[in-house]
Amino acid sequence: MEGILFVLLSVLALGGGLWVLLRRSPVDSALGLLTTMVAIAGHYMLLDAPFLAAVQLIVYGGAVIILFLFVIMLLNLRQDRLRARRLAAGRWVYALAGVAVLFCLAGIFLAGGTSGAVDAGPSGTVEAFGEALFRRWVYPFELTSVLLLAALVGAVALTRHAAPKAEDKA
Amino acid sequence: MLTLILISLAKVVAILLVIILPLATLLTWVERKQSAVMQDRLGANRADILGLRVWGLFNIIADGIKSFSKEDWVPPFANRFLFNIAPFVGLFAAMVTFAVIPFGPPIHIAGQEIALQVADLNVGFLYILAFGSMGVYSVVLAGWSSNNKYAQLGAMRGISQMISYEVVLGLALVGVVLVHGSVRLPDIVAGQGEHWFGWIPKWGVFTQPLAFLLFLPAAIAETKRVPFDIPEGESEIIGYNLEYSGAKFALFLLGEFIEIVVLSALLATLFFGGWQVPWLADSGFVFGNGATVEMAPLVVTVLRIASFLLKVVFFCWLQLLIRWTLPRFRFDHLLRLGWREMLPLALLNVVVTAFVMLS
Repeated sequence: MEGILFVLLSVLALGGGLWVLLRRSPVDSALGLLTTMVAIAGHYMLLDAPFLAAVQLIVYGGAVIILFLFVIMLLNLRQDRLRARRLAAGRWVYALAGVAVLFCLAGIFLAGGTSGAVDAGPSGTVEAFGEALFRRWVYPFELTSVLLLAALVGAVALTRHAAPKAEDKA
Repeated sequence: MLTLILISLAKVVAILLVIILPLATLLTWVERKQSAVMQDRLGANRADILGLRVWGLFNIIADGIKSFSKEDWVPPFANRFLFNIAPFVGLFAAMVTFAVIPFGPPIHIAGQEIALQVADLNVGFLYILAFGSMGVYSVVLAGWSSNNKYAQLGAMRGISQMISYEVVLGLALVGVVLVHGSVRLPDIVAGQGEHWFGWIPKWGVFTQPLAFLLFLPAAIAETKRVPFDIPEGESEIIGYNLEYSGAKFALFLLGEFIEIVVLSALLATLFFGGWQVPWLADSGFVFGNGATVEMAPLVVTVLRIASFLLKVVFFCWLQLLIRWTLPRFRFDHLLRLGWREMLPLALLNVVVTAFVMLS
């Protein structure tokens, strides 16, 4: 049962990833990414981590990809207007970057797999997850939130229109 | 294993056939009738079978036959696949939310304890948020795949509205979770069975009044109904479902009514004690002055399930009342209400609740 589900979810996740790369329409790509994210949520459920699965759905499914779609629709990117762009000059850089990532991943797997991963406890329930996050890993957690705050402030500062001057208001 | 699966299946079928679908289809008639009463009209009363009219109840059947026999039109240039699945996405997201709602106390049959809840998930309320946020895709896909400017405008309005109010929705629920110290819905319902001074039930609406006042409008905003029907706004842009016709349009409507039922069940569960009846313990009524009324366990169980259903029906009625009373928001007002007024209040509620729980 679990084996079948694992294969099914993996096919969905990888297929979604390929769909992102191969489709020309940006909305299709976003939906492919959604498929991958949902499939990974399913993987978390199989790994007995319901909290991660729910958060995966809420954050990636419910927020991130929805915002991608929002931006795509806002800019009205349609496939008939998008020219196929050739990655002429940077082609080799991209290829090298891809190979480098593959090497890193292979290195991690060869060096002992995922044994260094955070163990959330006996199971990935909300309680176990909260214990791990807010006791053992509380400082990294807080630092991450500071990082996110910095990104947020930066985004607001970049997108904010210049404040209207006093004489403009009249 | 097999019996477990059979029991779960039985629960799913029971919930679908006893609670969700009858209530949702009945609501299509109640909405027409209630709006008629509120506007001093007669309302739907023409459909008859052999001269029998029963207050226009047969209009439900007439509506069904009508919508399913209409032409199912897919506009040219539309993305057929997405256009076809969009209404089902909404329906699915609304229905699966019901899986974590306990609609009665655990019952004992043949020495086995059966929880009257399809899935007792450890992540209870996060599951509700997760699938609540999946509902946005129905609007997005419908609007985008129609290849129509107005539908797309509706979809974009839908995204910004639902994303904004989801934040408030989640934060309001955090207060409730803090009070009960658990994200499992059965724990939250059990916690609401206690009383202050033996008389006042510790319902969520009393322990978390601000959360309730924030949750109700935010949740109505998620159902996209008046006064939050900006994604549809039929007098301005007709909305994300503009190109739909026949059965698929009916599915959008059905999905909306199912959302009403699910929202009512959520309100009952989180803020009005779920299946709890005030002063009713396992052995019967126990009042604050020490008086007791003994009751058989079966009667207690039936009373509790009936109380849950009654609360659900009440909140369905309340939502229809709100829908036919208030006018539509203006879009900038809607976003300002969500981000500038409700969000700070929700954050304040979380902080104050946390301090009270700590002290």
